[in-house]
Amino acid sequence: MKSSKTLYVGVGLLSALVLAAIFAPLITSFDPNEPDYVNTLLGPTSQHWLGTDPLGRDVFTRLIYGARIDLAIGLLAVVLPFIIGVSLGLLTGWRGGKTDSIIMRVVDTFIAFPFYVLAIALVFIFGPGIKSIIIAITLVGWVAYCRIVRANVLVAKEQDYIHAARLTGLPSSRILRRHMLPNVISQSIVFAMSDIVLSILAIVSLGYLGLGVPVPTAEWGSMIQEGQGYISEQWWLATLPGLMVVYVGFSLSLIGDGLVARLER
Amino acid sequence: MVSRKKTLGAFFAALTVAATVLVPLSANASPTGDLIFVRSQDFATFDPDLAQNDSLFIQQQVFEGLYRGTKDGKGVEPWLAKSHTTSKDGLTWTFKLRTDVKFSNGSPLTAADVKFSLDRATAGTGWGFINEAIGSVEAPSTDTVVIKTKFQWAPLLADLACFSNSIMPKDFGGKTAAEFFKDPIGTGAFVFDKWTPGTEIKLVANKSYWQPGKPYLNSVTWKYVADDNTREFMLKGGQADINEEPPATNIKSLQAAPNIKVGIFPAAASNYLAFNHKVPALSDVNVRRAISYAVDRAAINKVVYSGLGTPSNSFLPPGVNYYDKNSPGVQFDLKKAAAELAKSKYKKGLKLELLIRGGDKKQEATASILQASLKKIGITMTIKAQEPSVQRVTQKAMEYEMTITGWTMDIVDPDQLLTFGLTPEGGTSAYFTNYNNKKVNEAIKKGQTNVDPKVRAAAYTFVQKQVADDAFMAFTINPPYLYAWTNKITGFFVNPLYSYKMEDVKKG
Repeated sequence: MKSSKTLYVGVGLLSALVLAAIFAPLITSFDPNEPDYVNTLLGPTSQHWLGTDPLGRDVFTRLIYGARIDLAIGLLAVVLPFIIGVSLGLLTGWRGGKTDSIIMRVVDTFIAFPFYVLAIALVFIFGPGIKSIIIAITLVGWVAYCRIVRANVLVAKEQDYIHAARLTGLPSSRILRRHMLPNVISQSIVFAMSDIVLSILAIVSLGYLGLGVPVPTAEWGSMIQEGQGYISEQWWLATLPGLMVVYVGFSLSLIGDGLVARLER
Repeated sequence: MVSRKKTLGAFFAALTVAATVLVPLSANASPTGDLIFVRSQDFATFDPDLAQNDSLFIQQQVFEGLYRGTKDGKGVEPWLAKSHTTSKDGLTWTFKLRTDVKFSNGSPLTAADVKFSLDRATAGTGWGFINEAIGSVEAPSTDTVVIKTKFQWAPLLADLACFSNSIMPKDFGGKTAAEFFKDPIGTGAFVFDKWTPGTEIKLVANKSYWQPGKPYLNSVTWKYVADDNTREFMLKGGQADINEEPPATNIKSLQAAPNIKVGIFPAAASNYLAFNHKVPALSDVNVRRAISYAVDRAAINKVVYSGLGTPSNSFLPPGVNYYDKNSPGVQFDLKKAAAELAKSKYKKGLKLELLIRGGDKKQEATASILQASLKKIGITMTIKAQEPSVQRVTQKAMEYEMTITGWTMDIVDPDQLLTFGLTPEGGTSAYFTNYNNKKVNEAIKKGQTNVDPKVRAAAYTFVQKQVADDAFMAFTINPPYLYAWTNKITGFFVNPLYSYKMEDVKKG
């Protein structure tokens, strides 16, 4: 019961933000990227609930529109690694032997490689933007799913229901799809929840380094970077986008925890 | 009583005389105070030929030149040279050197040292172009230097005041260049002590400095602290004495602090929006003018420089000789911008890309402002950020469409910037824009080779007007130099050529 509550609260919190992002134009009448040089650096007012930034843009509006970018990339950046990692994990765990050795050495290499060095190198090649971020996260991200699924496959392989399926002469592909996958995927789904948070953190970090989504598009990382110069006078400019990341992280962790309990029942 | 008063009076009079004589002498004997700068750039090199802003302020405390820029930045004053005479044809310049100058290793300054230093500067691949007019340097006696120019050359004294013409001992005092620049010897008020790359560089007082009574400080240390806020807090907390280049956005908070003084020094510096004329759309003068009109200089000044700069009207920054304050330039006017665009082939609008340095808040804000106003006249501008060192390479390779750039004058004469930024001789394809206007080039040549101020003024006024008409670049903002220091510091001053002399500074 308690675990369901966690799950619902998490889903509730996240959906609230997702809905706000989708219906952003209905919630706020301001344009997130249109400067207004008369009203720069305002404190909170009845019009601008969270004040304005150095270019006179409404902070509240930019936070909501920022959610569109950060959540979308966060989700997108997890889908590909999830598919690649799970498939390779199934394969390597099932086949064992040489295939396993080769894939696992590749995995080790990727784990040893510092993520941000790779991400920044890719940004140099493809230029800053959503494409580079997704490629960078995909290149590194699949490794974790591969290891999780492989470990589960190694255990499941020796279970009676798999032996039974083999004895009936079913082809490997069918065993993997129909019998193995549903039983080994749950941990990966749980991990994907926290992985989304990691992806968002990566996007925000790259944005902070000026290598993420190009200005002036509202994005939490570049908002933190822009606000940093005003930390001694208008601390909320850099703090609020940071709190948004915390909010998303919190709700996804709740969902993850709830799912663990659910799937293990 | 009477006699006693007289005696006392005479005694005090004598004391006053003694004090005035003694004070300068005793001050020289014991410089006091250790001053700490915090700055956002790390020191790189003592070699003047390779110097950029990160290194040259520090070099200038160790090395000196024959001349140096005056406080108002409008002229030069004799420094290691005492005086000069010019031959009738204007081609031979004879300099008399000061005879009381010693290098920090104790050996006296001679004409041979000057010849060596100037020849090396001329051969330099970095700033050698400044000495392009120098034909030969001779040292007929220990205190006489003769410079022959290839043609009449008005900016010679200004060139000699440039940091690139710093005077060093002949043959680097017997060392190789690499060895010498690791432990340099100059005539300046401070001597190199220790450099920890990535952390700090320390100079200590030159005990045998030739100006009596100076320097006042025992040592000066420049600490590399990348974060703007940390530098601000270090200054407020008394861990630093001078903050080099506080961001304009921090100025208000610094001015409000009781123990901090803020210096807003007029600068001979300019920011530009550069166009690559190889891009078809930007080879169209109407498009370039349209964009120039669309730069909201007041907004950039407000947002990026907290209103401390001034909108530019000329390619030349104010403070430089022959800067024309009446040059109309191109100012923000969206109606005129739209009209110019309508005259071009791109009536229906066009797409352009602006290259900026990633993580540079000033450039990012400028880009956002520009994008918003260009949208109103039908130009869709995308913004591409590159890591700063990559951005520089892309700019030099001219693989950009538009980019943000700037210039700080190193000499008071406009020739350095005009040659570098406009003519083929500058070796930069007119500041990497591919602009080439024969009339402008001729006028610059005329200004260089003519010593008559009236002729030069006419030539340079023409150049300023013409390059604005051609909208070769958009001239955006003239930013000031910003510094902040604690109220323990006195005598700190930055001249418009971005040069300060620590020998005049006191702490305590």
